[in-house]
Amino acid sequence: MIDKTLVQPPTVLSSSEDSTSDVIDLVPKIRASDVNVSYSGNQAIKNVNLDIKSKAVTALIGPSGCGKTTFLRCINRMNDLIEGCEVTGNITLDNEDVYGADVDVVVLRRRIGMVFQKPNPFPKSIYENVAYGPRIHGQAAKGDELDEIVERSLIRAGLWDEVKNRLEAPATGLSGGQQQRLCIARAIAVEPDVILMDEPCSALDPIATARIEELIDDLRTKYTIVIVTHSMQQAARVSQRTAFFHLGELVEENEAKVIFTNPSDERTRAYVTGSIG
Amino acid sequence: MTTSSLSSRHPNQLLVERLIRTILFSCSAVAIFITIGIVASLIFEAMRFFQSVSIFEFLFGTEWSPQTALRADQVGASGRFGAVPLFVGTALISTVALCVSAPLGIFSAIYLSEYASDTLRSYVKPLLEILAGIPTVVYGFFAAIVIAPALSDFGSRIGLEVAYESALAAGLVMGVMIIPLISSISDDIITAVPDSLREGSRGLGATKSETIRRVVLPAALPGIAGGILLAISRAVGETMIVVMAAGLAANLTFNPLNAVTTVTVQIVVLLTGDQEFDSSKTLAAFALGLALFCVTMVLNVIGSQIVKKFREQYD
Repeated sequence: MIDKTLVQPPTVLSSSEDSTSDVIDLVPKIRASDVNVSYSGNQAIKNVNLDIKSKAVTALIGPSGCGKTTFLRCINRMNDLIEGCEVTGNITLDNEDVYGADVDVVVLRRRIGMVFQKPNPFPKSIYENVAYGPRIHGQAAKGDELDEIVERSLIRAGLWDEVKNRLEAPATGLSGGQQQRLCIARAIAVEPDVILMDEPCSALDPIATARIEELIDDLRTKYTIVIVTHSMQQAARVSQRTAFFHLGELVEENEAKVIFTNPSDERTRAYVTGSIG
Repeated sequence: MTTSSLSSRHPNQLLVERLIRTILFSCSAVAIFITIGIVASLIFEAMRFFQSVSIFEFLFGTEWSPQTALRADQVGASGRFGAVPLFVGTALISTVALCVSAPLGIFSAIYLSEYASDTLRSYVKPLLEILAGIPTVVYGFFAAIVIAPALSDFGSRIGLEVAYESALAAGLVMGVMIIPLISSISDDIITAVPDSLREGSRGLGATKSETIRRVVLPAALPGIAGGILLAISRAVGETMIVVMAAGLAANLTFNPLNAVTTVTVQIVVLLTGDQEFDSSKTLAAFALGLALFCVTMVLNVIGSQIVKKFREQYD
């Protein structure tokens, strides 16, 4: 049923093996080289080179306006939607050029799901929200299959128990945290390899945030996750790799532990210790 | 006045404030009282009409021939005041108008809000507004002199009998008149649908048209429906176009190719020329006016309520 036109992820690790250790694949899932982005001539990010490891959480941190969200949106070409936005350089997903001439963004975005800053459930039922992606991609031929996909996605997003008795209720009636988990379920439903998260907890209270963070930790066994966050604590809690952006440049990228305890760049040290930001 | 340090610098200040407040209040009071007066006279005169003609006959009677005799001994001394043919005629023309304006208005709004570049939009929107600025009398003679004969001609060529003053001609032109109304309300509504929903859909791999069909339009639908109610209210109350292009004969028909008449046309007919102000014929105009007022008011209230609620939902 799944008709991935791009090659399968190179990893052979099963999720159980993966979760026993913080093993990180050697082949990068996503590789960005010399990426430059400008909005109507204003350069937003400069010469970013970054490898993103498969089945790990990579956090992009940095002060406001440093280009981390811009970079995130380059990966699934959401920047295409912004008028006047120009992207140069090269980004590959499993060694395939994301910006190649024959790339279909529909297929690309099916492989790379996205969760946004503000929960944005569609004004439809909970069920229809999760079923949205599978429907447009023709993933389920029959109603039962779709039911299964919806249930599985909601279970994975940790929302099933809370909503299983009211799947037909409007999604906008859920709490903010539930809405965000619904958006994660909606992204998972199309079976992506990568999930991009743009400050997914910034509109949520601490309890809802903790639930999402737990969820991210569960999801990394199956997905490559790139998360933009304002909160260094959050980056330290959820990520295995952390990249620090400053003024449109990628300052350094390393294991999260290293970034937070022993960064090599002075600017990173200043940021993580709170003296700039 | 005390002379403590907290007392007003200018003793007159308070007076001026009060004066301004009073002037502003009187202005709004005048507007409100005039409205109340008009509605009251409408109701009062309509009551007088219903003393001579039963309200039941007026609302459900199917024969409308308001010609009353000038002298008491003339034949056909009393007219018939069954307004159903007028209601049906009004509804028929409004339906034709809506069939034209709803799709054109909504689709142009979708194009303008979702596809058009900002530059194009800045040219096209004012152009559409110009359409709204054309006096209805101009639409009226356009309907009567250009569209009606053309339709009649075309009808006879393909063997259809199209009345010269058909509901179709009046409805088509009225539809064109309403396009800007529907398009501008729909455009507002569609623009009010938050971009986060569009991004959410595009982020899942939906194409632009899938996003519009499956997310944006369903989200905008209640608001657009409210806009359409406002447009219907406008069509029902429209006078000039139908006076010039629709007929005078009160035919009870659902065929848009026939001539029909409307509530507004009959009010004009009843009140133009020399009138006796207490004849049933004249008073009938007030009853029609009251009926029209009730319908348009209800449509307006519901329509603007829906549109307002929709805007609040995404604020």
